[in-house]
Amino acid sequence: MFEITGTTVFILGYVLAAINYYVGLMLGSFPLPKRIRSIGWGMVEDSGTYAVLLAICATPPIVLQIFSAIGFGNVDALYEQVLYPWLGVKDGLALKTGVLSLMLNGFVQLALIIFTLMLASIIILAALRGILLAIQFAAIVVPDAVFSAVRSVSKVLGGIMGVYISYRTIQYTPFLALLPMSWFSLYAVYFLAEFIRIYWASIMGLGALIFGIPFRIGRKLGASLIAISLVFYVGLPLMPYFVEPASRITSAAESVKKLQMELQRATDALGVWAGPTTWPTTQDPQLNINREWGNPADEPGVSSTQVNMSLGKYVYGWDTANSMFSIIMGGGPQNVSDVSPTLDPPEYVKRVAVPEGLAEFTFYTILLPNIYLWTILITIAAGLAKVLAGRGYF
Amino acid sequence: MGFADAVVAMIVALTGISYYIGVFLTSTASSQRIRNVGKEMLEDSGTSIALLAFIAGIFAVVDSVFRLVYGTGAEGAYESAFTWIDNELTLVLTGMLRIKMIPILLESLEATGYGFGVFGILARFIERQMTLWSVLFQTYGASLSLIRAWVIFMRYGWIVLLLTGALIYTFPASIGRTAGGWIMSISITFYALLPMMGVFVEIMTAVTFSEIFQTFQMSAENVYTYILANKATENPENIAAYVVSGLTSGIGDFGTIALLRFIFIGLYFAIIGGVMFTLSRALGATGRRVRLPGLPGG
Repeated sequence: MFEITGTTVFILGYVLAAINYYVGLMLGSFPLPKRIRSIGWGMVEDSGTYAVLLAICATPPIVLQIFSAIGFGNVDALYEQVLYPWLGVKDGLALKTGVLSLMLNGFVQLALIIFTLMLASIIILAALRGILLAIQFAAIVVPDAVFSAVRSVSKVLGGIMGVYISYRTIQYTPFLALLPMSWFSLYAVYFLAEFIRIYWASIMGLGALIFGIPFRIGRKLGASLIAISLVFYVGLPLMPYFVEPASRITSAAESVKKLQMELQRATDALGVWAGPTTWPTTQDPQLNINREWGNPADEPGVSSTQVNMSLGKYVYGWDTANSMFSIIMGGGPQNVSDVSPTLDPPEYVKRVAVPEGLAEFTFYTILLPNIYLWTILITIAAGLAKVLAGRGYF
Repeated sequence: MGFADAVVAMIVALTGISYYIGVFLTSTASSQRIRNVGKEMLEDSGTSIALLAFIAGIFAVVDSVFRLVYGTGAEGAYESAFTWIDNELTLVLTGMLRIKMIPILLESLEATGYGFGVFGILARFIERQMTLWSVLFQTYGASLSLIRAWVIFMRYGWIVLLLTGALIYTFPASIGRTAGGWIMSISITFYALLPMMGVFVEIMTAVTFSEIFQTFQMSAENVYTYILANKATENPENIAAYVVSGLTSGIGDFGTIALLRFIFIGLYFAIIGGVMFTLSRALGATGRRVRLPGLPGG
């Protein structure tokens, strides 16, 4: 079966050049009207240009090989060693490192904050309803007014929590929309890069072939294909060098880590609220939060008094309140007492907003790669195409 | 080497390349057409050097504008912008709470058993009536959050955009004039005008954040005073009716102010767009080649 490869395309190109030459020669030398003869001589001229272009198009792979041999580095290796690790993609799959992972992590943390708030709301309301059910189940005589009051309080709390969750959601909405967009566009860069890396020579050959279609029909398209394949092949793996220095990846990573810590603290607290049979016993030195779960009574040397004190402190004490409060207030204060009732509203708004590092990173990763790909590389390719096409381009 | 240094070095290198290729073509080519190309490249290299001087001047110009308007440099201007946006977000939160407050109160009264089914229906009715205001506040809030993030980005990111635009602008043979001019004009215009958005909106709506809050505080205080003064003599239904009317009466005004502010923010962005377009034309980004002695469009 016929397969379009670099070599076959070049062979076809030379055949086209020969056709151009002989058809042109025939038209130019036959006793025909002057206009047709001039077209013929134009074709002869074009065939010469075309043969030169084919020779030029055959050189880049050789030049790149020579560059590689004398120590300038291999372009193919740049894809594997620079671009893909920076993106965090291997064999088409996203890894746990790299820019894509950071973006995904930021998105997940924001979504989880909303989810945790919803969960906290459900747990608080369920706890209030649970108290009512428990009282009814235990047949304890309680005045109707108490039931009414608890029901009423649960309605008020539910309403306020609903408004608050909507508010936090609208604050995060731009990022919940922009981060996936940015993620998909960068993930698409991987596939574009793989396509260019594998087929660039074929695309260039195809461009050369189209370039040589008689009567300059395909000059513009052919020159554009040649220029795009060459410029993108060399330019794409260099994208990290352009984007990385300005993209604030470090501060974004710090922001995401901060969000992770807040979430971890909150989910620990929620875990205790939801299932008081488990409680933390040790401190995680890295995150400085309680992470290990198990029954402390099973551990040697722990008395039941200590266990009860620990349980009481955690379930009913300030730790839980602080943790819940921390996630609701956006991770600002560490103690309930730190928050005065006259908290300045803008300060509070600032506290629950998306961290600055993540906000900057979102725009940098949306703008810079796209500027690099679709402005810098395309502009260079357009300039090169104009040079290659000569008068035929205009 | 930092990003800015690297880009400036690349601009200078590209200018040098343009200049020497231009000199080579002008002095050696036999064809008049190629000599003209060389001449254009010589002109372009001069333009690129002028552009570098222009970029250096922009810092001083923008900083002077900030000092004139705010009395502080860019940092102070941007801090004011953040404070304004955070105030507006507080307005949004308050608005959302006020819209939801009455239905919540009615629902809670219903839960106590004193609503007789009517309060619940009334709560849902009021909630539906308020749907448009609710959508307005949510849209305004989401837009403000996006603007806030854009302001965070522009505060330090403008220089990255400006230099990137300048780099594209100085590509040989004028191939990057359009894209480079647009990117530079976006960067300069947004950086200079974004912090003034709050000033513009407050002047146009003639209401400041603190005035809005004072009005809200006064209506809440009126309700509270009424309850204290009349709780012994008035029927609970009358007190409830006063509370409902007192707290809902201002919602329309509150929402209208938010709507007006939202509209003026949109208008301000249209102004930014206009300035940006004009600047990009001045930089030669419209595709029309301006001959020397024009400014950087040459």
